[in-house]
Amino acid sequence: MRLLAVDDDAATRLLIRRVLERDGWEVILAEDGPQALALFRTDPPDLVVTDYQMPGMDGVELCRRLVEASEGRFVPLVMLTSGQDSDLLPRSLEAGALEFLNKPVRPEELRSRMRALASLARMHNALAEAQAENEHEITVVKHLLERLTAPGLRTLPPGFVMETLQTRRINGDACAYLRGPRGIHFGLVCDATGHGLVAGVSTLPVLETFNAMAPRDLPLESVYNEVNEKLIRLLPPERFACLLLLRLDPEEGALRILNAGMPDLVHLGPEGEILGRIPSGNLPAGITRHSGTTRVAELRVRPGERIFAHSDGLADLLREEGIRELLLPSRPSVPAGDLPRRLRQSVEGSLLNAEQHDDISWSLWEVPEPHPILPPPPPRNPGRIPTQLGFSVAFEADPRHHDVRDLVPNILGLLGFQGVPRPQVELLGILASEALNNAVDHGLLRLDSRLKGDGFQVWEAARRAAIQSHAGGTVRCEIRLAYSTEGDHRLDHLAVEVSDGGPGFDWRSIRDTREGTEPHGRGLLLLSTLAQDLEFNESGNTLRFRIPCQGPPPE
Amino acid sequence: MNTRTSIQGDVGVVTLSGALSFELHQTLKQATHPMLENPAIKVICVELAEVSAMDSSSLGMLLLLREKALAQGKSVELRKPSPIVLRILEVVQFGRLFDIT
Repeated sequence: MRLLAVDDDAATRLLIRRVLERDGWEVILAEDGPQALALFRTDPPDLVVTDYQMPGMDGVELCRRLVEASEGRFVPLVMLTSGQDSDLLPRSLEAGALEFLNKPVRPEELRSRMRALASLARMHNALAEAQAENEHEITVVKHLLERLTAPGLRTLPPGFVMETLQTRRINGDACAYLRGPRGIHFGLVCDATGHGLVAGVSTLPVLETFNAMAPRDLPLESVYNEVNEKLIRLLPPERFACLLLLRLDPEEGALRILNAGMPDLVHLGPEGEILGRIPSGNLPAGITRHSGTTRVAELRVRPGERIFAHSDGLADLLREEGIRELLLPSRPSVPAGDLPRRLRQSVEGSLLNAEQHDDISWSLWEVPEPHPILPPPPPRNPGRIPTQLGFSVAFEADPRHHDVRDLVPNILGLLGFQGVPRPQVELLGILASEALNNAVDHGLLRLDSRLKGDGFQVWEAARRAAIQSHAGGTVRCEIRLAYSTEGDHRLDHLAVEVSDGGPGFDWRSIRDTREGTEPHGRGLLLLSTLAQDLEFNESGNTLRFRIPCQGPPPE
Repeated sequence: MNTRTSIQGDVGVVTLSGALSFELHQTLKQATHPMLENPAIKVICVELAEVSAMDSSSLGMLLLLREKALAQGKSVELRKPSPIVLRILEVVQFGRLFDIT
């Protein structure tokens, strides 16, 4: 280690050098404060010994400057004193000195003091390094959490607030939101046990499971069971996660809640009055596979009512009374929608007086008005050629009675007679079959195409079973021959619409499958690449596309 | 849907025809199973000249065939696709996975 000795007296400087070099130190010397400061910057030492009485800058002033120059690095400073100045001790300590040595210097004392300080400095540096590494790892986990939650939270509809206020470390809280099929809202508030990295890492499988299962509208029980299973498999026995799962169907006015170890969910009226509470009815996830029946509560909710959930970090900070006060019916002058703002103010206010020890999460949803089931598609491309002329053919069939794909060749034959060129007829056959397969297999029968990975006989058997047990519902295909209204009214394009009676799917989550080798997931890739203007309706049970073609004028 | 097979040296040829969809899996399996088991065969060649259309299920079957073939140290070639079938193979970037000739 390197030591800087500062003294205007050459004999003392040389004594220090001789004694400490024999003890393994590298010793550098300075005659006064300014020289010491310059050496400190160019050749940073691990320890500094300075005389107090020096012409110009004294030892106290030098200590003050050295502390500034060390920029947070820990460098023990030792003051050499000879006088009986009773004021010197407090001033030196205040300036940053850590130790005192009496002059004249006694070699034995110097050696042992410096050894003690060297080991202190080493420990301090090791600790600082470990802390820097820890902070880096926490940053990485925070980034992972963010990646898993941010895309969903960006789509929170108006009236929905979900927030997690993390501490500098991580404490295992997370909120997630996803929009499911038919405008159903899914929410998750999660609080994994423990602090730091392990808590952060524990929430990752919870979020991943939620993200994978919510958009498919699987029952909350299944999501919970899957999370439970994963956490039991992955986490040590003393680790687990509390979670609250929400599924709000505004159409039905139904809210389903699975509360596993979280504080009560509160159901609020439009004026802020408390209509009910849903306490935890399940064990936190990750504890046991044998906790009995999974309990899901169901509430009837109306537009304008609100649902409030939070993690225990909020309860710790504001106490039960604080939360109750927040939820009190607002005075007429305070609009009910102000709750998120009041919440934030209240949390920030409380944090002024107390350090934040735990993550704080809350979720507040205002029940929206139900959506019309199939909103009209927005007007598109107003500048394109108006194509009012034309005619369409359509069929509608129930897959229990007809294999709809067998109907496609008949339609293609008809189009051939109308003068649609052969390449476009071929392409139409491929794309219409693809869309109809999707409509039947996924739209109506709700089959999971990952079954194809187990071999197509598994898939075919599952498909046959699904058709037999299917309650009914049809798919419809309409093909319109659109002629230009200009010039000689030539055929301009084929417009195809395929719809099914199923609940639809989340077409926003379609992923590019070109890079992979899984034996499924390419149907929509074909449609989106080979067709033009592919679009879905909001709920995802109707798709439309065009095939441009140059054909003859109508007969 | 008609399927023929032949063996030319260390190449097993499966000739498919018509519009391919998921019903293909039975016949394709019957046609390729002996080739996958036959150590003398190094390449399985799927002849597509008479195929008028393919859907995504039949693409998936080709991928499963490729996976099984690779496990046996064999490769799969796709031969003579019609223009429309070639376009489909291009869209799904099968050129990265198969030799298309």
